[in-house]
Amino acid sequence: MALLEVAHLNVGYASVRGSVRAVRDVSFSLDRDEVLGVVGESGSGKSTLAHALMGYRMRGTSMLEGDVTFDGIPLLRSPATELRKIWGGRIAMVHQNPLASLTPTMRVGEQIAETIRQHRNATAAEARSAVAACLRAVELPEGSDIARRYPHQLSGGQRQRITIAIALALEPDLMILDEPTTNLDATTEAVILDLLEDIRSRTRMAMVYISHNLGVIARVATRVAVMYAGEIVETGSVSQIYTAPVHSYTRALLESLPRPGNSKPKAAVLSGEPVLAAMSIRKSFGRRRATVRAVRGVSLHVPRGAVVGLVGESGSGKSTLLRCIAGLERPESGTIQYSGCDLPPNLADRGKDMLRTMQMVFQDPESTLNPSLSIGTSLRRHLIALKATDGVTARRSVDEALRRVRLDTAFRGRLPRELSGGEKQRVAIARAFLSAPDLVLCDEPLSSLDVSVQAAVCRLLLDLQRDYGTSYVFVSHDLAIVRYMSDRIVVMYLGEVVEEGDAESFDRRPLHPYTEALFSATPIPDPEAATARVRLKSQISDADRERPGCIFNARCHRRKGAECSEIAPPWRDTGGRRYRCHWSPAELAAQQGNEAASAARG
Amino acid sequence: MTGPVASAAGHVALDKPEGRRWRWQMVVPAAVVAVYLLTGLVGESVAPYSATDFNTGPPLAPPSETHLFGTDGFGRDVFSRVLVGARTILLLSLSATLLGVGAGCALGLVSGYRGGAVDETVMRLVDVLLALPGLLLAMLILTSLGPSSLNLVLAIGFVFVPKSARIARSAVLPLRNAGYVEAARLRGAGWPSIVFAELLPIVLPQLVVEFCLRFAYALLLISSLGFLGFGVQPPTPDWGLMISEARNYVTIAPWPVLFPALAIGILVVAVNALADALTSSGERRVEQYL
Repeated sequence: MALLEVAHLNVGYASVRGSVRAVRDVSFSLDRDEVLGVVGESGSGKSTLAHALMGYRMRGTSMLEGDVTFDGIPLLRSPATELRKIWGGRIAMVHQNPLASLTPTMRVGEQIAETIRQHRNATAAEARSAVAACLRAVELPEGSDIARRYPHQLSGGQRQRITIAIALALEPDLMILDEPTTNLDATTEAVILDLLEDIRSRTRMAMVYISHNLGVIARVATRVAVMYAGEIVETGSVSQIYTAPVHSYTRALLESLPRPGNSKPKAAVLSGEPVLAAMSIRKSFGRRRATVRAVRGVSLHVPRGAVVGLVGESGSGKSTLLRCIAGLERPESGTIQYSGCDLPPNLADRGKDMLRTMQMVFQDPESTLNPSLSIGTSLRRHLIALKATDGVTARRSVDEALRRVRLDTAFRGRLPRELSGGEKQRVAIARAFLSAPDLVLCDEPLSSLDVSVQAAVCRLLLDLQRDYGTSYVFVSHDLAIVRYMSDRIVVMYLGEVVEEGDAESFDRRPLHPYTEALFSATPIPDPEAATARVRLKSQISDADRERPGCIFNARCHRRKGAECSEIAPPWRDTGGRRYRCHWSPAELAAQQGNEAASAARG
Repeated sequence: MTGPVASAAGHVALDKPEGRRWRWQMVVPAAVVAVYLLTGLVGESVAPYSATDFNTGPPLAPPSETHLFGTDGFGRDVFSRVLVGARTILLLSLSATLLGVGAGCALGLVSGYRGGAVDETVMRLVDVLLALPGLLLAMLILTSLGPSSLNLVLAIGFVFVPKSARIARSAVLPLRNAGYVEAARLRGAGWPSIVFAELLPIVLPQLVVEFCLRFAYALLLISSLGFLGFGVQPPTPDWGLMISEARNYVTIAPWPVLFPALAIGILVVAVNALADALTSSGERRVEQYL
């Protein structure tokens, strides 16, 4: 008999705008030793399903119908006392945001022990050894003081390990994971996914893994369920879903994903004087002892009509660099040349002409538009400030701008809250293009959007770029998207550029060890894909910024020797591509070749 | 990344829309406040007696058909004085609140948005002013300027500036680095236009609530100052002053104290309730956006 049997599950909420059915007639079964990946976009009812699977009534639930049978127990008809024994003991859950699911005022070791004591009579010594076993299971260093720390003293990856340790504490039969790696950096995500795979092969535990990321699902799941508008539209084995999807939504979802090696149609030959040349930009935050050097002497060249992709994990300084160029932050040192003229660091000193030719698209679609102004007013204000026009012309230009981003002109009268995230981002793009700029700075414009919307906005940005001959600096943490969008790629790590070059050359192979790790960490939506496994052990740390030598040496998997931590590595040029490392290209190629060979043998 | 994509994202449809609902929590206090405002407008013309005439009846006469609220120690009609007094107190507290909350909010918005040394200076000054009790501060100002209606408005307005500045500052702080603010900066907008054209409309609902709360407090302050003799000067009918004048014989004739006190109490409660209802309707609206 299956471990978990779900039949005709319906879940509804009461909201101020009426009742919402978030899960509609969902049925499936899950065997022991299976991992069901549930994939869907935001609002598709994934999280609601996760809670309903535990028999948990979330606040505001107005309807919870159907059957959820766990190991013969009807969860939806069990009394609360019965459920409390099952929760944590036999079914465990891991949430998206570990900072919210851990108690901030309690040491993390105690939080694991608490779960154990809740379900079993354990002496202090037994609890202690059980906690140590849990920490071992999630590969946190034993004997360190991790158990005695508070959640805020841990990194994001360590926190998520603790929540997984709590879930594992009582060796449950089923673990439900709700977007457990969504808030983590790509390299940390890869390590956590490895850990989950490892735990599963050891314990034969069943899992329900919920994610919006098809690449992640391809890595962890044995079976996939695709959710759309509260319904499961397709289920099947991993290979079936990824190679022969039946439902049109699944197909569209898969087609919207950039894969490694995918790229936009090639742009025209890039030559001539660069539209933007930033030289040795430096920027620190904080005062005296608590200074964080966010950008440490970065130079950036943007050829006219090109897309330069800036990629790196959080804390790499890519957004700060962008804001320095835009004039939103004042760099400590460095010069910016724009179309051959010096660009003053202060926004107030830049004339209307300069402002008009450089515009920006922001990351968060929720705050990019003023919530109290209609779309038309927002755009009109922007236009009139940049170009002195009369009301009639302004209105016509606004309509045209909306059509350009493929929105109906009726959007003029709407308020931002009536728009979806993708529509808001389109309006923000329309706003940036109102003054026909030469350069648009894109600060992670896609990261807050759903996959299918990402694809559409991505295409729109490329179309506009082609039509206007605009240049972009495109910031993202997603290497696949940057590869797809860009002509040139710049890889940043802790405020320094570690590698840059033509986008195509990145297809052949990564050079810098950090780029290699980023490539390897990017989940690929293809279950058959074989990638070299490069995993960074330690966490990104601000202390690394202050050391001499290579900025990456503390986490590097190809550390050469003492020179890495003492001597700043030289730039190595390989024709159209350059990187900073003590290893030469030939030495790196030899190492990568050996590893590939031994992987093939093993 | 080329394929077509299903029309809309997988959003869950709503089963039924919500209609606009009037709630009694909002309607009742609003109606009470409206009655007071009406009294303030027409009180003088509907009052049965002159508010300042002595001996409209026997002194300290209990409430009766001829004198609804009785008479005070000089034989003045309490009902007429309460009706006429409404205009004084409403005018004074409205203008003091407008002045104080307006100036305070403007200060707080600018200080919160600009940050840095400006913010630091303004907020430390605010801290100093907040260390003094409001009533004491108002009395200090009134004793140095001399009691008059204008000075009363100025004093109470001044007392309100620091608190309102704090509220407005805290409302504007989380919005400082929003995308629309930065977009405005990138089109060359200066701080006055960002603060008053972009940010003010967003925080206005919060400031309206603050206005209502301050208004209720102004009513109390003016009555207290009147009671203490710093406020409106006799013979102008003022609720606080009336309580003060009649307090000596409250044991034998409670009505000249009771009715102005009730008038103050009901208005203060109504205005507070209105502010409360506004706050929760604001929260409800926010919930709908989420």
